[in-house]
Amino acid sequence: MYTSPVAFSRIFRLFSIFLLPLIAAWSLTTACPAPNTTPDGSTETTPDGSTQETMSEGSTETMSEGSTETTPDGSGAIRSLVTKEGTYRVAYIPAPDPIPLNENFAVNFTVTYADGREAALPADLELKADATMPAHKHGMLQKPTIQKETAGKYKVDGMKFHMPGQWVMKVDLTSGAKTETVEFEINMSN
Amino acid sequence: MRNHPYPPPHKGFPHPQRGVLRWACALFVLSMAMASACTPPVTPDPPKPVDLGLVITLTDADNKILDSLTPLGEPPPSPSNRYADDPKAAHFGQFLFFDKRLSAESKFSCASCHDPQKGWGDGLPTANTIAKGDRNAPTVWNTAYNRWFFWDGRADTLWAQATQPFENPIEMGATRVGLLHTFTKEADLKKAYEALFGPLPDTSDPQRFPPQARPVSDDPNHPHQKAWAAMSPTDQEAANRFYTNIAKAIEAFERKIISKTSPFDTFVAGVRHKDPVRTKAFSPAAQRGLKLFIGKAQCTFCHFGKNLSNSEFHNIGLNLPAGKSPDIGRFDAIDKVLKDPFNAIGTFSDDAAPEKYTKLKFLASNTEIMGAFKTPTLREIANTAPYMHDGRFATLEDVLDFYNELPDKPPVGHREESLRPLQLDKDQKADLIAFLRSLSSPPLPTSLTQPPAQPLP
Repeated sequence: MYTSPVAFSRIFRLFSIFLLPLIAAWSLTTACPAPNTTPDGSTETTPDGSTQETMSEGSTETMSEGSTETTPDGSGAIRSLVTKEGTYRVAYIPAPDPIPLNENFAVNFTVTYADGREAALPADLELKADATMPAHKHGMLQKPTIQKETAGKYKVDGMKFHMPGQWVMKVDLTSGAKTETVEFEINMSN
Repeated sequence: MRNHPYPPPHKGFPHPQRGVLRWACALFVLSMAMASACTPPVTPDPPKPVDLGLVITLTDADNKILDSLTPLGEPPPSPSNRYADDPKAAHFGQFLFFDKRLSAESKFSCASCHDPQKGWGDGLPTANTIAKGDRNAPTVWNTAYNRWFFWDGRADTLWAQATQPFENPIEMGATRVGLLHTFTKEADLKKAYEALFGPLPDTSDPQRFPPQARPVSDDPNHPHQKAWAAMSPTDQEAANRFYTNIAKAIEAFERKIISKTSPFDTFVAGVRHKDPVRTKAFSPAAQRGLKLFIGKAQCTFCHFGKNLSNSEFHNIGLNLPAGKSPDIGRFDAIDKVLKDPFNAIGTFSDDAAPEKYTKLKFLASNTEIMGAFKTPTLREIANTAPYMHDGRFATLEDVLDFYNELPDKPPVGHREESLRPLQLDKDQKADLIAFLRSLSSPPLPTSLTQPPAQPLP
């Protein structure tokens, strides 16, 4: 059948105006699918040797109550708390960081008033720190030393978490006859 | 000229269709370009999963634990012993390890209780040489990885540990000054010692160096103590130097008693590298036992680290056998290790940076360690029966039966509260034992398990 050049050009115009955009839109939608969202990209090895996504686990540090500050390393660990009695805020940084399992480590504490004021802390303010595993009903196998460096700055040396599991680091602040307490929960994993 | 039946051809599409077409073409080209940019690069089909023959699922958490358990790797350095990695010292130490001349009546050697053919132990519930002791002779396997030595950790270095059995009256019954005379008299020992450590002191004057002398801290009237107290500090120091040198040579040898690659190590390496040859050699029972070990059975509460021990102390709640006195274990050892003149911060330590040595600095004797004993390594565990600090369990099955039910109550202290009866069924116990048996490695060469012909290579 003979098709005149005019008819051919009309067909071509129709194709160009209506079908080309449709083809282009289809290409975009098929070439750019929404990415799969996975929690962390972790994997697990299954009996058939394949891998699949799972949530990862690891050491975390949380608090019993108080603020939601996070550590500088962004791990989500919470290392700053107001005492249960409400006067002081205690923040700590372990060394080395993160805390190594079954190895000695030190803890550097910074104490301020609950509102963040550093000035005029009681001159006799003493800090004591210890750690226990409540579920195991035992504490550490050694006794840390405590050194007051400057006002509000204390260094505790000789801590050691010799087992994996949930540890509670209890910090007592004493001025005169009054003692205030804060407890940090620290989860150690293998 | 004949009229053409058709209209004359346009030189282009008439306006406005021409503009629409241009926009449509432009949009098409742009869209295709974007589509092309978004299209992921062509990749080959993902590789088919490798059949590793696994019958268990290992999560990220499981793999993290496994990474902490294997491979064993090199033992930590021993900075308090300058001869720790000296091959000649190790050879001499091996010679001494098997030499019965180092005991009171030349009847016993280190190997009497640490027999290579018996898993570097003696196979007995409690050691029995000059007399029967109260505790099991620990294996020498992988002892270089230990943080503390003896079941109660009363020594903080391996060489300090090696000094004690020589003078223990129920073990080898010698004295350090008596051994000094032995080394002076025996030409082969003298030659080898002096080649490694320098001249032996002149012991020809019996007033200065009595035939037998050693410190006996709990008995000032003991003849050995009296003889020791009569010596000058200089001569005491010379005897101690000699004594610690031979102990350091023995440590150098014992640092070579290291497990090779076990089936467990091979399996984990196979999982990491997706190597079915290595993983399929690990039995399904051992795989299930591994999963129990790092999971339900919670063995890795204490048996973690490359040597499968945290090298710390726990009271697991063993009862008091009939006719026995309570053994307070670690509680009694803190004072001993702190006062040990041969500890790593003492005069005879070679550590160039003792200020960095913190093992002893924070020790505390408290109720946490009453009745507690050191977590033993589980590597080679199938070859080191019997088990526990007093060797009360003859088999691994006995050990699991204990943990399965926790039937006992400790006579002192309190049981590690994290322990719960495992309540494993018969098949699970068999699986866990299959895993424990996978922690044995191929035998060491006879060059390490037999006495060398000569004291020096």
